[in-house]
Amino acid sequence: MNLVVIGLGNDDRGDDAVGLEVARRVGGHAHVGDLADLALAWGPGDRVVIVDAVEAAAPSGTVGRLRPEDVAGGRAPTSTHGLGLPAALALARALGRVPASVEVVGIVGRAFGVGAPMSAAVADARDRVVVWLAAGGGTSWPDEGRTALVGTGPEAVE
Amino acid sequence: MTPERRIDVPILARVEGEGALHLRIEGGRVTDAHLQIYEPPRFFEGLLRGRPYDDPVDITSRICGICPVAYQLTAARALEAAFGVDVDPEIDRLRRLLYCGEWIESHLLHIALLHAPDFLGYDDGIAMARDHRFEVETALAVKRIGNRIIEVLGGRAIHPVNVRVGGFHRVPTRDELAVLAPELAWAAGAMADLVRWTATFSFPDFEQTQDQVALRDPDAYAIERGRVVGSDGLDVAVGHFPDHFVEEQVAHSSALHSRTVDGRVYCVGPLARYNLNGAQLSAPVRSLADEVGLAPVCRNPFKSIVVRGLEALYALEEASAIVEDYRAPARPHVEIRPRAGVGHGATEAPRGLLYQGYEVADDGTIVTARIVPPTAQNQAAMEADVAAFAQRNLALADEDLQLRCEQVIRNYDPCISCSTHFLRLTVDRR
Repeated sequence: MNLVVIGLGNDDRGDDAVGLEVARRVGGHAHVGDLADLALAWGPGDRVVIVDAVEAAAPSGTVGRLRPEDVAGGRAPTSTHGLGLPAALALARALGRVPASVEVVGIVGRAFGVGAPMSAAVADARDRVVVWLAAGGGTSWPDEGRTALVGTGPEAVE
Repeated sequence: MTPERRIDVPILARVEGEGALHLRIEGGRVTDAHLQIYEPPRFFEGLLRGRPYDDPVDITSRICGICPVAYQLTAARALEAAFGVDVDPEIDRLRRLLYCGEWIESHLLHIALLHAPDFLGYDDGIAMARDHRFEVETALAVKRIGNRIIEVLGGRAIHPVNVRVGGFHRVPTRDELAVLAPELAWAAGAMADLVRWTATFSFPDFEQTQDQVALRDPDAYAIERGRVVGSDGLDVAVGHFPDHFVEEQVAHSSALHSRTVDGRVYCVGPLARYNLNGAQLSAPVRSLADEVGLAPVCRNPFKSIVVRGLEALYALEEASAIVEDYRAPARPHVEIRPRAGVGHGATEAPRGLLYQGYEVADDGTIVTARIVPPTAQNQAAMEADVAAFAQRNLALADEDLQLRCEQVIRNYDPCISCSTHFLRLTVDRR
């Protein structure tokens, strides 16, 4: 199964760059901008892993595997300014670009200021996720055994 | 007298931002059509005061995530005028390329996801995509090329960071631009087919009567520069824009309404550009317009979807030509020496003419700023269109009338975020 890694975020907002950096390091797709054409990044049957920084009540650098429907912004968009990840995935399904699976790897960040450097804990999490993805992103999760992140799934770990 | 009828629509989708439309019908006459923008004012003009001259380019780009290039290049042009600076012709070409990227991105988004569902009877673009996969996927692929242009030339796809007063911070190498060529070549054919697709839609019989205003550039279909021209014969330099158009506060909107100084409603946007400057479109684009039955002058705002497609095709052609001819200029920008003065700038944002004016102190500090976005200029025209369309279609059932009135608004691709946000519709029949 073809593994497609997509990083989301903002290079200029500290920890928010982590998804983009992961994608670049594993030869994935660093997606900056609106999500309307995100569906074109994969084909039917691909395994899609989306990496993004998240805010959650957990220490910086906590890594969690989330289901797309757990990501905020699930309501139907009323404008393109609000086209979030769930809507982008719905558009992909409508276009017949149904991936075999989609999971979101969320890395908890704190430092999102303009021009802020990436925090050490998030940079460390970035490297763990890169190693995991470079090895094929298998079932052996790098943070296996840590505490649950946000209770969104059995594989959400700290 | 016809009994009072009232229709409430909680949210009108597929416009950029939030607001409401109130329509009152009394005794078989439309007596009121108010586009109510209740989004709080954003005070961009106020926060620019006291800032250095190189701030507006990046700050005004934050007014809109869809058309940041328009704000950046208009600010740059206004400040260059204040300082008496002309940018190098090669830089102007690169700016036109950047702007083409924005037209492509914005127009394709509106055509495929916001406007086409109106004509094909879907609630949203996602629902439409299930039955029109090929067209939506093609449109997204063409749109992505617009994003790519902005990314390569502007540094990133949204809120690009490479524009400055006097030019660019860095100009691309020939190789960096050349990677765009194959995609652009493919996209022109795909875009022409999308135009043919939109031309098959059924368009309500309706013509707008208000004046139309756009920029006109003697050398090309105006995008990044030009004089201000109007369907009433107006033809003035951008510096005279404030002499001919005024903004007024209205009770029902937190965005200002624009009118001509003598009180006439006018509109800006693709239809105005096409009607005033269509002869400057390329021969293939004009030929396609002819093929799909679009007359050289089109007053039916519902057909703006076809015009946007033609403009996107033109932008693809222009981008292709600029990329092909490109040689890295000797310098990325001209030196700026601040001086006290007043400068005016205007460009053609995807939604229409965008004006900015600045008064600058001798050390380059911004003293006053004025920004007149296209959607603010179109507010009165949108209300006039809704009133006129509703008056002609009172026989429609409330549900159909409501849907059509929403569509009348979407014909303008309004960016309420820019003008300050939209839309809840109330129809009040008495």
